[in-house]
Amino acid sequence: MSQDSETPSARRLNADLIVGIVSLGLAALVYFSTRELSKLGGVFVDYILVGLTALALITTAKGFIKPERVRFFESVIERNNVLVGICILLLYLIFLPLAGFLPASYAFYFCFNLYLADERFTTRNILISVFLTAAVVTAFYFIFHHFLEVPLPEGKWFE
Amino acid sequence: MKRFMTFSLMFFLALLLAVPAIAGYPEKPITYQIPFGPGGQSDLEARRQQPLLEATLGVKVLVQYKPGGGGSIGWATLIKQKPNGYFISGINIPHIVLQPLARGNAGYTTEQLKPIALFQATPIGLAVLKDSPFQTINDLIEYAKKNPDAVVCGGSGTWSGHHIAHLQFSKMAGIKMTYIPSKGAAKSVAAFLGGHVKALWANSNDLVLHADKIRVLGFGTKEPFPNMPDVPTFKSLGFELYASIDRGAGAPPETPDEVIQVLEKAFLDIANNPDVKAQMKKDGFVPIALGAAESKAYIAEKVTEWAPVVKEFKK
Amino acid sequence: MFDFALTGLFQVLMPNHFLVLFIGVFMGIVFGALPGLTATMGLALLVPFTFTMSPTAGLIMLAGIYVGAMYGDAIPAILINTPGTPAAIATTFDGFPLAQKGMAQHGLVAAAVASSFGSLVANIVLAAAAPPLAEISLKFGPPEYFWLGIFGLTIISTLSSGSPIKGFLAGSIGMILSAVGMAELGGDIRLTFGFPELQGGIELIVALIGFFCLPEILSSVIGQRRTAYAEKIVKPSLGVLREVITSLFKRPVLMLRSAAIGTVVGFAPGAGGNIASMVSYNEACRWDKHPEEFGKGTIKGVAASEAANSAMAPGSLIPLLTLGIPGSPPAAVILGALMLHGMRPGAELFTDYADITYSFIMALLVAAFLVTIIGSFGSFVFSRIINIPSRYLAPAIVFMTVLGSYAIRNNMLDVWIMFIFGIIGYVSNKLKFHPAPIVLGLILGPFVEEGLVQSMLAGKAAGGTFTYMVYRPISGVLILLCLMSLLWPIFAALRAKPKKAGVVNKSASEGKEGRDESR
Repeated sequence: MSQDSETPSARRLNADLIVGIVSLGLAALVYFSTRELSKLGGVFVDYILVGLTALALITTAKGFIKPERVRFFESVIERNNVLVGICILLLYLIFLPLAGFLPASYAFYFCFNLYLADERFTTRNILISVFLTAAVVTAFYFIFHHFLEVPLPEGKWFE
Repeated sequence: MKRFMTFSLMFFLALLLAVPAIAGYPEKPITYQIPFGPGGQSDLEARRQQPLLEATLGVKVLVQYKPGGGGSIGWATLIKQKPNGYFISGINIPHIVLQPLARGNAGYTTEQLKPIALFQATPIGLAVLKDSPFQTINDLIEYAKKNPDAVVCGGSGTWSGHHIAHLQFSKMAGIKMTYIPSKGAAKSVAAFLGGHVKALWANSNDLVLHADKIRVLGFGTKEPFPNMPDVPTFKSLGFELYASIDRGAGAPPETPDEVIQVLEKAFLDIANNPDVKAQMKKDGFVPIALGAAESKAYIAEKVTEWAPVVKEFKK
Repeated sequence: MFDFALTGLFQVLMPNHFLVLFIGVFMGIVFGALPGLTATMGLALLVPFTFTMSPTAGLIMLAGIYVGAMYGDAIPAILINTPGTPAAIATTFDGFPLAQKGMAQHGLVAAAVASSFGSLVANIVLAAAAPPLAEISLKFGPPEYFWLGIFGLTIISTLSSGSPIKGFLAGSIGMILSAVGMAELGGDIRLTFGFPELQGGIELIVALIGFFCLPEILSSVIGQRRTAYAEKIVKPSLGVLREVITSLFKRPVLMLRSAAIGTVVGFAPGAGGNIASMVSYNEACRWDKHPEEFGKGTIKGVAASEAANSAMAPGSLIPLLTLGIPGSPPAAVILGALMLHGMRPGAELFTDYADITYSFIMALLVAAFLVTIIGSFGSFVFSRIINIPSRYLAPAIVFMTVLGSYAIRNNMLDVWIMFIFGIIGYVSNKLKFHPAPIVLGLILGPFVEEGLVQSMLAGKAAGGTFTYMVYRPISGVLILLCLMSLLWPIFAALRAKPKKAGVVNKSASEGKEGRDESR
């Protein structure tokens, strides 16, 4: 997997600046959301906000003076991989309360497994995927839901 | 003959229609939610009740934990469940009364919880350590009058039963004391035993557990507390203060009354069971058996009593 | 007392009890190992099973579960950089790099041996000196908790020696996160932005999985398409066992200190093992001759963390058995089990119920040995887990963490929080902003807040908050520790300078970077 040949578009980001500014934003958000707290509830938040703002300012300042630059994604391939991966996860979580634990997990495991395999859609890979999905997911479901009686999401579609 | 046949047919038809109603509830397992974490008092009671409930109702009872917010997350979840009787929750007074009053949005309102029964009362008492200079409540009040804010009382939580008792008592006695909340009863007891607070608002079971180290100055009950009959009630000292933590079970709003009745009977059977009552008394609780209607009235009474207190002290 | 202890020991070694203990330890290891399931949950789920047994057998089983879970949480920490319970966070610091180097079995065995040792030491302390220690534990009042929390926070400066500013920034973000939800001491609801489900705050384990487990998967498995979790294949062998055990036995100071820290922190009610392992790791690093090895994969780091978090378990039982005050959430469940069997904590336990109580304590002891055995032999199996190609392993891990996150509070929101933190963790790792201090802030925030607010209230009544918080014996000790902890890195750097002028700056900064990068 040579990464160098994919790098032309990767920028070097100013890590300090980003972290500093995001932290300042967070501090502002928290500040404005906590103005109506009682004295006891707000004292801790206020102290921490002071520290957070101070540290965020220092980090932002460092971003201008002596920044630490990082390359976020080593390659476009990596960026695409991560984005697709996040999408698969996102879909899983969205469907979890809708389709129920078992169906959503089956779908997720199957898709994720196939996605991670190198040559994706060979018959062999698909069959392995189906088999493993059925085995692993069902086994855990049984142990947790029926043996340990841990409650798991029921699907809204199937009520 | 023809009349007989018609009559029999009608009879059978009626029977057929009645059968679903009789064989109706419960058929599936029932989820019994505890709005607190495992190991707490509500959990213990539920575990004690679980086998008895299963025997009476004939289905499995699954105990499920949904902690957070002092119980509010559990109750917020309860009101969203289907009102078919297959999801019930433990309820605690004063929590379900005080939380909606004290918080802007607790996720539920007191009226939305449909009570099934109340089965346990835990009177709240005010205690000091054995070596404390306060022998009676009047000693404490005297001292507090001369030294406002100097008497430090511990208790569990803010806008909880202990806190409200503290506020009500301070008002009735005309004194000012400091209240230091702790996260939970166990921690408040630890703070008390370690001498970090001078007096403690505590639940009767904790007071019974540590009886040899403490002196209880008063209990918030109508009658003297059976485990400690020498301790005066606040009423007998001239203060109309009734404070206790009551535990019961509740269902989502709109749950049909027939279903509630079945559950009510199951819970009341347990509440009236002599072994259960003996165990509760041994641990320092007061067994009670209030049915659905009585519970509802009791809760409404408490709302009227506490709403003005919360309003007054919540600046 | 000794005769009770002996009778207790005989009870435990009876075949049926021993079997129950073995099962308990095994289940405890499993529960500790599955991220998302905690010792507390394991105990709570299995307490009903114990009803069918006699009180002795039931408590023996619970003892096994508790001790087993204190080891089990190291397994995923080492293999997939995910602490099985919050107590194992520090185990990931050196455990995961070990696995990366193909030395997963070393890590697992070290964790097993250290766990057993920590358990052993703490149990002896428990059996010998429980009542007086309990009295001391009561002396921990609000100021003590505050300074303990601050002391914990000073660890951040060591954890992020590359850039302490960013480390403390992360720590303060963590503390803000800990404020989400209901303020226990003010009664207000904070930072829920209209989501009533957030009233319960952010669940620690969910945040852990999000910050530790998911970023690793996102970056290595998905992003770089690594076929296996570790860079080198693990080849378990018996020789490893001998090597690790002798290596650890040659370091009695490390082991004893870690166990001591765990026991002490364990019996401050509420502090729990979450902090113990991190403090122990920090101290091990501080006093070692080669601190630059920490963070790159050394069994010393794993041993320090695991010895402490296993010593915490008996420590938290001290205030429980003597006073009925649980020192940690699992202890609270055990309290429940005791009450349900009709046994009330206090002097009664050691007199009327002495035989059951001592069986329980001895069970903790024997369970410690079982952990070494099961852990060492299990390491052959466990370490091979990461040899499984990641395309089969990663989906299973994600699936399990989703299950675990949901199961903790029966809340779908927790799963979403895990996901969001996973992305945040991934992004911050890329920005060289390590999430470990955020987690530290999340854990310690409540202690600092509770201590601060309660001290303010009590101080006002006592005449002066500052006086109240500082002029106390235990607080004094803790404040000194905080100062030492903060100033030590400066002191150490200054001390090294004159000796090797010129070379020192290079090696010092290399050491710090090494610790940073391998996370």
